[in-house]
Amino acid sequence: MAARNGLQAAWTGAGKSRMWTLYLQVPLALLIPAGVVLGAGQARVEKSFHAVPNCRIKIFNPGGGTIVVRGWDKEEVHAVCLTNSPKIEIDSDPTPANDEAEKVDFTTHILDPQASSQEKTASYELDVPKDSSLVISSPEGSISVEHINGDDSIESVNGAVSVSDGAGMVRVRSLNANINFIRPTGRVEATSIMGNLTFTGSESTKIEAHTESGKITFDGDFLPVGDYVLKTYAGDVSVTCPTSDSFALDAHSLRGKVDNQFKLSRKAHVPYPSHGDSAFGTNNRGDASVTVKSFSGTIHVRPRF
Amino acid sequence: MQEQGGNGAAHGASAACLEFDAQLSDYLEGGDLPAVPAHAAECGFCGALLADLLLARSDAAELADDGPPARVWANVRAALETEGLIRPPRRRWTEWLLRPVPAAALTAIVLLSVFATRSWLHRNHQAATTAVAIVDPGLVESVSQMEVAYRARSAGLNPTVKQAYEEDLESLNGEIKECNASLALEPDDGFSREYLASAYTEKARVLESALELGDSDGR
Repeated sequence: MAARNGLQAAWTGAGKSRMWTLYLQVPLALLIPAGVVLGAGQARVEKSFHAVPNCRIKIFNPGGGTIVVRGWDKEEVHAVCLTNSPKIEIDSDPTPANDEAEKVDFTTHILDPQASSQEKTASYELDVPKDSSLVISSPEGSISVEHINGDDSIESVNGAVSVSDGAGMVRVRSLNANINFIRPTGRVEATSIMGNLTFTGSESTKIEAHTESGKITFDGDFLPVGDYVLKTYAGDVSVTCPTSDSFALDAHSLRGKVDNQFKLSRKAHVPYPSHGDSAFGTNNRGDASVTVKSFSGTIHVRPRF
Repeated sequence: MQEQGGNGAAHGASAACLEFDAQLSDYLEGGDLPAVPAHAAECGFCGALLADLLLARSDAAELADDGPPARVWANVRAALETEGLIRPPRRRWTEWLLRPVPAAALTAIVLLSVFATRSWLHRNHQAATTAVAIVDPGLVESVSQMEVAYRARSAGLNPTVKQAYEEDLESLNGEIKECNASLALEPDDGFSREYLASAYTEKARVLESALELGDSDGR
């Protein structure tokens, strides 16, 4: 298949029983919307599926490429994909095949292992029911997820990940790139080795963030029932929240400094660690639990006025 | 459609894969079977499978295994003795210890031994504080084996992705080294212990990710 000449994108669906193959002889006007110009070897394919509101979407893109997923009010999965060469193909597999899809799997297959890194890439742009859940695996290229209420699991190596207005549980792992959460309200687990983790406008009740050499920046509210663990090895941690928030802080850096600008009430029974720098105590009633740790990074805890 | 492998997943299973499959459980139980890691280093699917199993084993080892409290065992033993299913332990040489003179002599010997070995242990304490002593040895061994498999197969990875993995591993190796150095000075420092264990766990996850990606990339 890979040896065929000409611009081609193979798109198989319904358990690989159907295949749409687009060739150059198909009028370009049908394939390319205004403003989109395809490079040599590239192909664009577009597909829609009726879907249940809480559809499960899986994207496996081993060659990497940009991925954008947006939640919308329609009960429909609409996908626009761009393959970078005829040496890859994209399969779509809705289940059930002939009714409203309860899950849709998108997979990029590398047909020619000798293809260059650039030739292996495919980009995805999806609009999905907002209550959908997502599983995305793509080693390179940015990943952006917006307005999804279901649970998300996202894995990358070099790709920056951005999750906006996510209400479900979001688990993100990007080894070497930054991860941004904008207005998260659900539970969040974020892990990186080199990347920075940023939380903006957080109203999440549970956050576990861990990066080795990246920085963590948290700007949001600590909700009374919340539990927050922010941990780095070498990176700095910056926490900003309103003075009205009620939380118990446990901040400790073994080799770095702790710069706490809240006036905390210290609980008598909590011992200070024997070495390193630390800040312990409660702000207001001390409802939320906030743990900030770093081996050698500096920790800043500042009020937002 | 590809052949169904002996380990239950679809891949092109060769005779070597079937042999790997047959020896896998013995290997995981500690058998000296060098053919298993050797095949895992060559075969993407079997390598990923072994990596998963090693990681699962190390994760399982991290789970607390406190067991029931001693009083539960005492109650069970008492009930079994009452039922006549077991007999109470008979006193043998321990009765001899309860006599005053031998007991005093034994106490003196024990105290002398403790004082004699204490200074030796203190001198060697730092040297004995290694990652293996602090982190679960199974995890350290698993990471080591996964690293061998990764080195054997990393050439097939996308160069930029491979570079990212290399940077991650270098960073984690530095972290492990730094934590070990810190623990050599402060062996009981819980903070350094926590970070050392965490670094090994992260390293295992990075290697697992690399092995899985190498496997999928090659298909």
